[in-house]
Amino acid sequence: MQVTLTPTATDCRTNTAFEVMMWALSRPGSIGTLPGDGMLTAAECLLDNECTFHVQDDAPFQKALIQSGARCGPMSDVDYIFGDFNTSAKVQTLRTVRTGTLQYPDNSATLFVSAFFGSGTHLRLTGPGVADHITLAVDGVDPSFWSVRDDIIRYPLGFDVYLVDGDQVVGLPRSTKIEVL
Amino acid sequence: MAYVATRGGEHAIEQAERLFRSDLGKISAARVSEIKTSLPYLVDRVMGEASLYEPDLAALALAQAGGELSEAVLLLRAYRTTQPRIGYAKTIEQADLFTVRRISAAFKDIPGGQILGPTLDYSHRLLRVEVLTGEDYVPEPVIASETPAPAEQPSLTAWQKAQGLIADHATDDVAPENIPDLTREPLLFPAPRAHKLQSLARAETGGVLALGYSTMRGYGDIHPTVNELRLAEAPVRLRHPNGTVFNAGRVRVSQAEIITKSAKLELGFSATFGWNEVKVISAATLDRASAQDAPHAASTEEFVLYHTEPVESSGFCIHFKLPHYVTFQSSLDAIRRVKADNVENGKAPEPVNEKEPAL
Amino acid sequence: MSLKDLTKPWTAFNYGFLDESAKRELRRKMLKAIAIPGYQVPYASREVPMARGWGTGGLQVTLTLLKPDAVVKVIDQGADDSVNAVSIRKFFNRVGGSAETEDTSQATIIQSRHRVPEEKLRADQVLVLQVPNPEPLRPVQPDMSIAREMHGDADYGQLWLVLYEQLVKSGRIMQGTEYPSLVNGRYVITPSPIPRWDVKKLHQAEHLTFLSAGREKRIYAIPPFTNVEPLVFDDVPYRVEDHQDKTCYRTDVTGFFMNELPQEDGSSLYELSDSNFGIKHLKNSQGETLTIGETWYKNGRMD
Repeated sequence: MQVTLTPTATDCRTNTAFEVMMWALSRPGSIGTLPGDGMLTAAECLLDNECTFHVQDDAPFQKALIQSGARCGPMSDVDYIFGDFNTSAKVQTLRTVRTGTLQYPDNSATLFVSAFFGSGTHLRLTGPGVADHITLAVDGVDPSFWSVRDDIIRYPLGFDVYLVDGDQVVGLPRSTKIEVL
Repeated sequence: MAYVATRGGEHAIEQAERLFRSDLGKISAARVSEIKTSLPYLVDRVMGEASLYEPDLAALALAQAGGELSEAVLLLRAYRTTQPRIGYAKTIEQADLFTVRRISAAFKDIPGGQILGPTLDYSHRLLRVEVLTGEDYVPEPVIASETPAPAEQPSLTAWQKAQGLIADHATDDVAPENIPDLTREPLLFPAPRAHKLQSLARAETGGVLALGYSTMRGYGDIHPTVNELRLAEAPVRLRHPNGTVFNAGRVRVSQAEIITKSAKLELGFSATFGWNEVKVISAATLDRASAQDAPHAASTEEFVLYHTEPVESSGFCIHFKLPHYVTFQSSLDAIRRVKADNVENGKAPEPVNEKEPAL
Repeated sequence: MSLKDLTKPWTAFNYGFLDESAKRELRRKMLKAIAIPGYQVPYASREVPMARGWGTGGLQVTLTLLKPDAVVKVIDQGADDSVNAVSIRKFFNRVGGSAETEDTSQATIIQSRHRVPEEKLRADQVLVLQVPNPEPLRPVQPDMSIAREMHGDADYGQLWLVLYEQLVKSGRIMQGTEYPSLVNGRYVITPSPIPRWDVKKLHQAEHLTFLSAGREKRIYAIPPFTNVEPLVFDDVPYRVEDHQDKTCYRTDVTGFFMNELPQEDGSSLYELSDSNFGIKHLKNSQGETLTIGETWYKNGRMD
């Protein structure tokens, strides 16, 4: 251990990706930029053979994630869920995701949801990480998503969401109160 | 600028470490090799507590730490965490073990036979002081048995279960890679059985003995009989990516089953890397004790597993050498304030009964 | 697939010391900690080349955050030059190639044992507090499984009772450091053994705070702009240490947390506990022009 170690390209990418995701979740509503395709980069820095995941209708992406060693499973059982929630039918499937227990609220799912930022539904966010309030415009997510999220979250039980638009990401932890404007 | 004066500390810690290391002198491959061959039971103990089977590295850790056991275990554990996991060994059964010692106190003789193997149990513990005056102690040669014991021995419990003496518990059919792994997941309670046995396997030998001894003496309702004690070498079988299962080597292991009789016969179990009989007998006793309703600390899973963790317990103990003057200052402030209040109110100073926070 | 595909070229240690599996686990747990402010997330807590109790929890968080352009400050009891702080800082440089600093304003990551710097931390800074005991309920419930149920039920009655008993017996709340505090209105945490002086700095702060207990294997977080409220009774205000009027004998600065230095004649001298803050004042008094950031406390008060 005489020499200072230099990070590999993978080290750099995953460390940066995590930092972006950490700040995104710490400041709900703020837009972070990941070093590469949002879904893939996010998955790369988090998933390995100790995790389970579910991908909605995207076989190549699912195959890519299996390479990480993580196991694929139904939406109701897994740690990480990747997909579109752009119809109310898809949003309804959220009702089965894991929300943790009072003893272990962390034993719950994290969602990576495809979205477009800058237009669409206007959201007003308050809660930890937000000074006063912040507004965010999101498209590509069915409007029912927000009321269903609200229904499911019984804080501290609930799930956490990352909205992903290309390489851009917004974090919405369960602690964030979201009001549709 | 006295702030600068404290910077002398940087120099001081470096010199303090040098002092420790210079007392030990040069560490050579020869020294490491001598430790490995002359102190195999110590090397075993370190490997067991570190949960890393590598006698050369364990001997090196002992050499670097000058035999300070908790330091040696920490060195090896810290090395272990950096190693990638490239495969999972196949599960092996007791009958797969290359057994060198196998005894049971429960029966005079057992199927497969009692095999004494290497032990000091019946020796007279006499120091060979003549060695110090230049007379070498050369152990007497072992006379080979006419009928060597078979290397593979059946499990005594399997026989007892077949006789209906011991209840057979259903086991989960779990793939090796899905067995809960204490080194990659936090210990939560009630602990999965895998975590409990892993935790006991890497527990501090002295700590396990102390708590195990307390249950044997009467803090709890355990009257252990050694059902089977084994020292063995376990084959490590791996699956090559092309599908063939191959033997990657053998590791020394100990295992103990203790049996206790309350309403029915019940077993406690423990196994660890290396040959360490005191540890597995104590740990198997604690395993049994934790399944009973007893009001004693050593019967409580959480108490036992948390407090026998070698790296955590020794680390916390020595951390009290670190400066705590901010915490002390804060408490002092509260105590002075109460005194000042009392003077103000004309009351005699009361003894302060503060609940000290655990720092 | 062959064995070769499963392996990579041998290196003695990974960048940032922790292997990929350890880093990913920490990342997952750190995100959960942010999502549920104040909730103690269990984590595997790998062994690191330092003894447990010497900052291994903080160390693992900092190692996970480490990048070559990270600038790391490490303090122990407020001092950058405390021997253990020096040792930890050197380790980060050794395994991460990160820059070291003693200047609070230069740091991107500040790992600390028992103090929060006097200068306000910014939105781009992460404070990593080393935690010996993460469980505020330990004095009333040593069994961790039961304590966890109590957190689940937000059952903090016994903790209130302890504070009440102190009030009745001593006329004051006697808790020194690690003052139990309610985070985001839901979880009571121990803010680690920082003085009461520092707890207020965590409330609605701009920076992100991680609290990590390596030996006890728990991590929790206080995101920016999150309520952190010390448990107090409505009619007995929270009181920080009486240091607002103390003057540092070296820098002549008044109104910050001090170290008390007992003198042979029975009196005491005081010096600033935040050593870098003190040094900057000292150097400026000798003609240098170092920037001293905005402080949380002004004239010994924080409102």
